[in-house]
Amino acid sequence: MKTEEFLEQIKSYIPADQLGSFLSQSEALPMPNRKLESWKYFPTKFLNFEKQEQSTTLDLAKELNRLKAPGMDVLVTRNGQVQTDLSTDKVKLKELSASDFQLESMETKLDVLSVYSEGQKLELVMQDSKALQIIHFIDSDKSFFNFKLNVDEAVELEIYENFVAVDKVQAHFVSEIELKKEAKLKYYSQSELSSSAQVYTHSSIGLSEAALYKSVVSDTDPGKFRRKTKVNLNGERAHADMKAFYLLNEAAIVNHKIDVNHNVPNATSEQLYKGILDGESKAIFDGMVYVAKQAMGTDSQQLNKSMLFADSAEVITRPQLEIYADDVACAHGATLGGFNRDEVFYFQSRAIPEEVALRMLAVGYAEEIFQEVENKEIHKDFLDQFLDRFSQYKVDIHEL
Amino acid sequence: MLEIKDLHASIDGKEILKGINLSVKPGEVHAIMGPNGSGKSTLSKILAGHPSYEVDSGSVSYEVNFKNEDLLELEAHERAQKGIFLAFQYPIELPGVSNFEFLKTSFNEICKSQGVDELDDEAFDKFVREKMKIVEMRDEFLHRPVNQGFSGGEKKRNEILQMAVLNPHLSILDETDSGLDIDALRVISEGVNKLKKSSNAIILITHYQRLLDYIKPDYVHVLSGGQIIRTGDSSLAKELEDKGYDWIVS
Ligand SMILES: Nc1ncnc2c1ncn2[C@@H]1O[C@H](COP(=O)(O)OP(=O)(O)OP(=O)(O)O)[C@@H](O)[C@H]1O
Ligand SMILES: [Mg+2]
Repeated sequence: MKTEEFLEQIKSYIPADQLGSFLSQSEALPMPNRKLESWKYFPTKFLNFEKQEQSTTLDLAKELNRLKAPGMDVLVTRNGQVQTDLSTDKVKLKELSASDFQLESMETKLDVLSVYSEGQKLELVMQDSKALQIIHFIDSDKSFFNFKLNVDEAVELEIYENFVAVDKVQAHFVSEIELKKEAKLKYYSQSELSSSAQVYTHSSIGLSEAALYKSVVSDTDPGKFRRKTKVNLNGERAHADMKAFYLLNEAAIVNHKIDVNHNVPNATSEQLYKGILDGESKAIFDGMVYVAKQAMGTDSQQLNKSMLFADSAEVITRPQLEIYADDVACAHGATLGGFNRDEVFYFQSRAIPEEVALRMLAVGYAEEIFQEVENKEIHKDFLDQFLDRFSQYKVDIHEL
Repeated sequence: MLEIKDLHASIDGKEILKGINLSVKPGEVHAIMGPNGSGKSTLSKILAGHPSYEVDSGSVSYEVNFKNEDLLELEAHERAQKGIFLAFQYPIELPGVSNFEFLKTSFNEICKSQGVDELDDEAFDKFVREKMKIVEMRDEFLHRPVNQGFSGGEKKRNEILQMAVLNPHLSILDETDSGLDIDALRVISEGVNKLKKSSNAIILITHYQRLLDYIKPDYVHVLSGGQIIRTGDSSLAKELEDKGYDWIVS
């Protein structure tokens, strides 16, 4: 899309009094396009800001009932607006303006658009809550939502973020999370996207000394999801542990764009991203671990593993390291495979037919990620959703 | 119960078994010994139905419940459902699949094939814990992924636990003794002896006489170059232990 055309289209999503600021802030920034390293593999043709007619409407009460995780406070948004009547009131919401977000580190016009849009900009103040489920319902054309969260010193929080989107929608989310000294955040996320739904998240997480960020993400539906995650390790002994699973069919696309920046000595990070692909689906693992000159004693592991069920599915995997420090331990890699004959035979030799064996192996493959979810209810959500979707897959030993 | 006649088999076009003849009757214990690479594991995997091996000629008939089956016509899981059990020389690790789930599914598949009621989690848990006593296995192994991170000896013990759970008609134990410490060897041998019945048979593949002190074989066969070149009683194993294979492999 041409820049002028893009600017023309997006005007309708920016309040008039914000337009000037948006234009000046975004002036120097590019549009997302294939020439940009960070948008190289995600087809930008989907990023169209023309108005589209919407026909499907979500029944929020019903959906909420289905998705609600016991024991957690809940914040419901619909198309970028908080639904106070459906949310619990333990979490205080503080209105923010665009300039409260880290505009200087944004990379494209699109990132800036979200914070200047009509979508809400909020700080979540979780003084009285330790566990929050954030459910985003998306059933109208374009939407934007932005939030910030600070996790105070030595506080431990749990966030479970769900995305439910119907066909022909496009939603953008910007989130900024700061973990203070010794703070802990367990972040879980799951999505249910219809085939032509698109969701784009731009998350950045900053960690101070001895802070812990642990994330487990599961995407299992045929929509298009680009999850951009930037983690800044700004304090020694901080640890980021990131895990994700994708189960993709039809024309699904999941793009994990990850930047982990080791800015200080002796911080550690770990990424394990795995998935199964069928149909014409596409997984893009685009992960960069950056180790600054002063970040001695960094320990970083990065691994992407995928299993292909069809030749028409595609995996693009780019585990990358950029190391400027000495004395670091960094490992990265990627594997692509199908099921292993000898594993299947082991099942068969124990009276278990091939089909059952393959299903059990696939569940085991996913469980390597899901088992990282410490919350039992959420773990069950992940597993149940996987089993439900996977029951529609045809399994065989796919020789690559 | 098992009748192997002139069995020739190959993998990737390379002939490994070159005319095996072996007859096993209910209640018998057969030991198969032989140099490395002679085809012992190949024979065991072919009997269990590994699809990568090509049977070029010969026949294997298997009698179960007074019915003769052409074993080579059955798929691997069907053979297991009819009571064939192979304890692997190198048990496979199954990441993400718990031992409990694996054993339960296996047990219930056999129940299903025999038209017997399946066990639910609770009932199976009780059942399997009894079996774990036979091989003196600690409870924690039940909920770990199958063989993952198990020591060599623990994997072998896990194989015999599976045997105890599945109660096979014909068991083929491929070097179950290798990698076991002295106490484990005793425990597992005693376990196998407890599982022995007059209606069942065992084929023991081993390199060491030691095991045969615990589990007395009725026959000892020497497999070399893809053929059984000598058969004797338990004294043959002792002779091999003293003299090695050179004197018979000419
Ligand atoms: N997949 C394969 N491809 C090629 N050759 C194979 C394959 N599997 C087995 N072989 C060969 O077949 C021969 C017999 O192997 P097998 O494992 O049956 O020996 P074994 O008698 O069990 O030996 P050991 O005592 O060392 O366990 C060996 O030479 C081995 O290299
Ligand atoms: Mg062998």
